[in-house]
Amino acid sequence: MSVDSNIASNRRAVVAMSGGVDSSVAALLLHEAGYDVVGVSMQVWDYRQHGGCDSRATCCSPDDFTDARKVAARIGVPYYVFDFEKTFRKEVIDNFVDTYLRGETPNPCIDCNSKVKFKELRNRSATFGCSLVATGHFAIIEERADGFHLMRGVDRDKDQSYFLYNLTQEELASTLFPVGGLTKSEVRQRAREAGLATASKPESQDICFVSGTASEFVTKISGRQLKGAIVSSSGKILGMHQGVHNFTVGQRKGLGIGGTERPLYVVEIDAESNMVVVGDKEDLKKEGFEVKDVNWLSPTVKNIQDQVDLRVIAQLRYRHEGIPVKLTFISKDRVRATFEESWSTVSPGQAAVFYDLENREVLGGGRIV
Amino acid sequence: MAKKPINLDANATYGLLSEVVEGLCSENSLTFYNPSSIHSGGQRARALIEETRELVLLLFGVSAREAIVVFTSGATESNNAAILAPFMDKNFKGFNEHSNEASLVSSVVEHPSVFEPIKRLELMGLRVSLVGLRNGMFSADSFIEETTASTKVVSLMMANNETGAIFPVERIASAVKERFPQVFFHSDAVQLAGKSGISLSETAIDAVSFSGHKLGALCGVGGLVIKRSALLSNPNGFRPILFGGAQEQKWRAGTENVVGILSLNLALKKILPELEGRARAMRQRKHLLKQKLMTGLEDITINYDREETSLPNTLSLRVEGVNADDLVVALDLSGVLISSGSACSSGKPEPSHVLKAMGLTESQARQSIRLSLRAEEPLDNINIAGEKIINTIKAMRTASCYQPKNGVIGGEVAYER
Repeated sequence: MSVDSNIASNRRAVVAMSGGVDSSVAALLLHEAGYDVVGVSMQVWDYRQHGGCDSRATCCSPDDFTDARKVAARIGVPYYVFDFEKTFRKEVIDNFVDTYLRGETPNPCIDCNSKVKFKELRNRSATFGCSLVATGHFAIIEERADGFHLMRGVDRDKDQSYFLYNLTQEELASTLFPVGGLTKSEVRQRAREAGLATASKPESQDICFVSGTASEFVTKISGRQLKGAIVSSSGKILGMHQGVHNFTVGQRKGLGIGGTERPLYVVEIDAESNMVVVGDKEDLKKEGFEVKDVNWLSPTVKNIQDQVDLRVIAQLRYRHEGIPVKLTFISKDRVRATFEESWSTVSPGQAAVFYDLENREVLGGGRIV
Repeated sequence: MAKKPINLDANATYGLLSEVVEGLCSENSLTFYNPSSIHSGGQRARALIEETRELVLLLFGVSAREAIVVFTSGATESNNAAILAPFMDKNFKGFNEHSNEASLVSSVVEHPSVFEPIKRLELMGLRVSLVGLRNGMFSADSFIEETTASTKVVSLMMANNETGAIFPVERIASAVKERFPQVFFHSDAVQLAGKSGISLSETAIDAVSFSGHKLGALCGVGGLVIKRSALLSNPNGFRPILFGGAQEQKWRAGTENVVGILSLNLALKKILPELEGRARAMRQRKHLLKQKLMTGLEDITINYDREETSLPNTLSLRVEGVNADDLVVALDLSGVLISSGSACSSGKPEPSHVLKAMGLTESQARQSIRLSLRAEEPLDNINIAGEKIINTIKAMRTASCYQPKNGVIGGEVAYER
């Protein structure tokens, strides 16, 4: 008997189950496809201790685990809860708060995917013989001769490939997105047909650990309350703010300044001098932007250093349709993006994800400087 | 999961004895009547309860002249009742200036069903001392040191559910009560009962808690055995915590759990005549498994290794280089049921307070598993489970690139640390 023959199985897949309908159906589909499915929920945040679990829809709360457990039992697969609180706090929460306090816009789902789900969960799963990790993300992995290609999910409204740009080829090779080829209504339909408890469960919020506003959360966790000035681009003080983390570049609502002729937008956040600069929509207009920590995911993009003026579609927020840009390479993991026909608001700290010109395949992505 | 898993988690719940299953199926016509009813159906249920009380007294080696048995919903209720009872006395004035001398003494390794009611009383103003282990054991002296003339309750478990350590409760109770006769001395006997002979007669122990499902009966039934000397005549004696009907001679209100008590009756009839043989069978299985693991694996340590004072069925092991919670999952997937530390219902595993109290570091506690065996487990199963545990640990260590301490694994020289 070989050392690990009793636990290793290349058809054994851990499905990260949040207690929502998408991951429920992911588990169902893999089970039906003959995979040896192991359902796992990740305990990432103590809602009882930190709050964020009032009646609003979040995920990964104790009630969600009850739902996930019910679904696993219904499908007939084993189910466990793993504790990831330490990693989540370090890699996701702290980074979220720090980024906000720097005056930038964080994207915790991307950190959670690359540092928690597809790293620590994968590593732990490997120790007990699960070589594959599956989630309920709406995205598609295509295996071709040159490697693995990450494509947008079939349901463009629900597509989550934006959050997955930070994966590697190696990770794609052992990852499954079983619902990427379905629309949301098809997912719900499958859940109903199978009698899963989560079939008509409402959507979770974008940021699972925040129940109020993100800035309330940052204020609470950091314990900081930093008043500062809101100024016009000419330097005139227009009002006061309760901390730069309450603002995002491009934001129009909630500035607390009334009586101006034209709508005002946040055009710049200067965390160092604790100032929020506002201006007209035109003041947001930029030629382009820089992106750091770029991960080139797709085998389509070869010999990156030699690429000149690579034309791609850049998606600059989760619900952003994408905009054509031209990329110039500063270094292997840093690029300059120049807008082509039109321009878009750019929020430093947010992810810029580059798609091919058909706007279907994730080529790579990074953080807006 | 096609094949029936091998249960090495008997301390969590023993599993119904086959005699209990059979008896419940054939005799449950008995159970449809309320034992408080005057009619013959009620009388039969009442007779069953009274017979079971006698069996419980036999289990604890004490006569009906000396002690009473009160049935409860299980050991959690029993432990809560024992801890809270003296504070339910009508003359107890609450935790104010008149009574702020009141105190309670217990240990750092108790089950949550003892520890949590104590914490609650502490929040309400009770002075609480928790005695620590010295060299893995409790001494009478350390309990006497903490006890005062105003101590109402002392509670110490007979055997620990995680490590299997058996504590000298009889000796400690007698030393404490000799100096402080006012004390209500309670012991949580859940894990020792059925695994070793117990004789409460003539001891200074006032009350013990037990649980049905640790003995092969159903969940949801258990009880307290209380010395008559520790009842109303004693100001710190037992008092009810549930009020309602006059069941259990008013010591515990609520219609008796007749089905549960029937299951206990059946389990006790099975195990009482063969207590010694069962303990021998458990010990034999534990030795076999221990032998297998110690020879098949490097870098494993028995957390509590004093055979003469340990439960015959319990083995607490520390496995270097392996996260115990992951090992539980991996073994579950191979059909072997074990536990890490104590059972965790919330999904948020905290390192065991018991292992930490024994001097293990947090990371050592997180590497610890508990194997607890049934007397009925076929020896073949023990061999199979042993193989699976060895193979799983080896595979997990390989997957996480574990470097054995002596630098050798599987006959090959490994890299230096």
